[in-house]
Amino acid sequence: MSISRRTALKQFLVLAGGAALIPACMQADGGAASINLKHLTINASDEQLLADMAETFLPATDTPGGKDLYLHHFALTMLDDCHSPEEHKAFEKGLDAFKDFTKKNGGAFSTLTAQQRTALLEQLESRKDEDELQHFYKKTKNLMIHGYLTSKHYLTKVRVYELVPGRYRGCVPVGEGKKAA
Amino acid sequence: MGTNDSIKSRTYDAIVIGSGISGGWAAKELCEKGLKTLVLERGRDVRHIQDYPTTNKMPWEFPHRGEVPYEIQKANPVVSRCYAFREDAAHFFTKDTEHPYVQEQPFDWIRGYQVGGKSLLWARQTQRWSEFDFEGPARDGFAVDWPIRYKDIAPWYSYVEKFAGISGNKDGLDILPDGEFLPPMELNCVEKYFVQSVGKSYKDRHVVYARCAHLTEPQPVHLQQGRGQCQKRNLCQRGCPFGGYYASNSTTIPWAQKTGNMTLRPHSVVHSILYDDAKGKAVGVRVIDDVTKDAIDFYARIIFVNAAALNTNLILLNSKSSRFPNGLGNDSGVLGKYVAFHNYRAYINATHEGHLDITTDGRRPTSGYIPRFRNVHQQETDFLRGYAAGFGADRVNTTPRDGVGTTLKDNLAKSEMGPWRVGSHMMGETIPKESNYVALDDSLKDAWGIPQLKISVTYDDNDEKMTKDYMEQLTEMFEKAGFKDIKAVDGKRAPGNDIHEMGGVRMGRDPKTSVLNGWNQMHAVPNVFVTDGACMTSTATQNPSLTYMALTARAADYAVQEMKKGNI
Repeated sequence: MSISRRTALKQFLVLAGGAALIPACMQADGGAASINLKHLTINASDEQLLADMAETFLPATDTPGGKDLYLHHFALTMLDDCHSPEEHKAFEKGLDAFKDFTKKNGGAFSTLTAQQRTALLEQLESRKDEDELQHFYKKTKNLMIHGYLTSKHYLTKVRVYELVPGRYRGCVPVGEGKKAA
Repeated sequence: MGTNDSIKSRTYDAIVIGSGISGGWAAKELCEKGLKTLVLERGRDVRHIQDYPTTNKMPWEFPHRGEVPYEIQKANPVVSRCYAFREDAAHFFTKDTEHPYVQEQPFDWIRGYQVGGKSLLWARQTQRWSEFDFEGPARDGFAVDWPIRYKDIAPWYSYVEKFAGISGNKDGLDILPDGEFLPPMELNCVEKYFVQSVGKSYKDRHVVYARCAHLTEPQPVHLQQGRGQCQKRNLCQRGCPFGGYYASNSTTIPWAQKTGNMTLRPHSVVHSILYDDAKGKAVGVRVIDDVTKDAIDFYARIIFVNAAALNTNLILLNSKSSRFPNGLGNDSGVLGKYVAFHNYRAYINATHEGHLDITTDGRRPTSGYIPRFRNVHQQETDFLRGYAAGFGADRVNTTPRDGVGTTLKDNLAKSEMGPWRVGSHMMGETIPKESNYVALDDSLKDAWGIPQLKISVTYDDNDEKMTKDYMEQLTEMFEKAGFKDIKAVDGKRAPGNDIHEMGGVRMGRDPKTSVLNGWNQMHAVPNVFVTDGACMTSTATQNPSLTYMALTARAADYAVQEMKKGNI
């Protein structure tokens, strides 16, 4: 499969800029996502939306954020490869419901300020309904958290994963043990 | 090359079918004793370390973080039910789609077709059988009497333990004899607390450190094997770069290779054992080469069948001759019958509210063990035999996941220490019965033109009662220890999922009711030996691999003596 000019350029931008914003002209609904998916129908603007959600859930501070860590790609990969066709449908429907929800509450997610985005997700965080929208919210958040907790950044900088512990101690006073994942 | 030359080049002193736990031992023993030995393995070669592609991968290097993709699971439901079929070890498991079989009753047949077989994947638990286990069938009137007793195998347990390297604690229990142990790893504080609690509440119940095939303190023989100390990675199913646990790939196969007497032939699917009516013995093995699909015959004076329990049955059933129209050595008609397994259906989980000032550090690739306590000295319940159980405790760290933005990010950096979690699973003895059998399917064949195996194995009333008893007794033991939120569950997993299938080619004293004698030698074909799980007359409750190793080393020693005497 040949990589389209647009995709290549977009990848270049992502690579070059890390969290660089993709120009609005590339966010047209018809544009293809930069990630190859077998099952899910996700276009470039959906991808952008999920990247913005990743960054809103886990913003870059003095440590990398969701977008730097490609948590949106991780979530899409897990959904596409490890979930059922039913879940794919539910996710796509939920994504549409989420777009409707944001439009009714200030506009398309990617056009909102960081504060507005955070406020919207916080609204969903405390929402009690059990519908497509809520399912989408929880699924997306959980997958992004999963990606974060198993990312190289997290397991080397936040809670260090030891590939070769070389020890097992069965009775260690709390607080004395080495910090291990 | 003339026909005679060709036959000569395909002739060995011994052929070993299979390179897993028992096949590896047969190869080592026979090669060490000077026999030119051909080891046939149906799968690909897996060389120690260099063919462990995932062994040093970090969690984030797995695209699905360990999960097996949905479509693979959907296409392979049987293997997907195995706890170790994960992204890091899926390449060592046989896929349902590639190797179909017929389930007359639900049976999860878990297989590992490669050099090393399931020795790469096993749970490495190595408990000795006791006298109570060998005398079980005779005392309780099921199956047939074992032709051997504990004293016959005890020196061979010691022999294989020293070479394989077994970590254990001398517990002094008659139900779980001590062995040649490397130092134990530690039981943690809550496990030790349960040891004491059970000791106080019951005279005849014990919780011990589970003996396991890990090098906690390598001895010269282990260093000579090129293996090193277990590094407590607990990633054993990937293959261990340190050789920290016993696998054929790290231990017996390279050892056999070093003698210069072994020829290892991967991609060799065994079709049948060749029997010569005139000579009155087996003369060789027919193989379908998995690469060329050609049938090739190999010849030897003795043959060890170590294809793993059910495939050993399949090969023998498919070895038909005018002398043995119903399968090799099957004068008794019991070949393929009296298949049994371990009942792993029930488990129990709970929390422990004490010991909150204590936690653990590092990882440990084993746990605690509760030897059988039911019906040990006499029959005392409404079911026969009993169960052993695993037991373990760990402290759960939880990470809060609430919030959005920096709140969430801060939360995910926290680790809150939760209560201790305790758990156990049962390992029940099942009673071998004629009605639990395997047979060749009448019409279905596999990709190599070999009949598919039809498996008809199911639980019985004894298993139901035992499962219930385990749940009741462990609940009581947990309650007496003050554990909370106790949940005993009958997971109803299918037979086979325990990966302890045994029997079908059982040992016995009488050729009319068994296939093998007390030396794992076929009553009717003295130059064929079966020393994998197929030989088992009964199952006991212990994880069986150590017993296969000991039986194999013992049988190999006997076979070579018999060859020297000119008896075979």
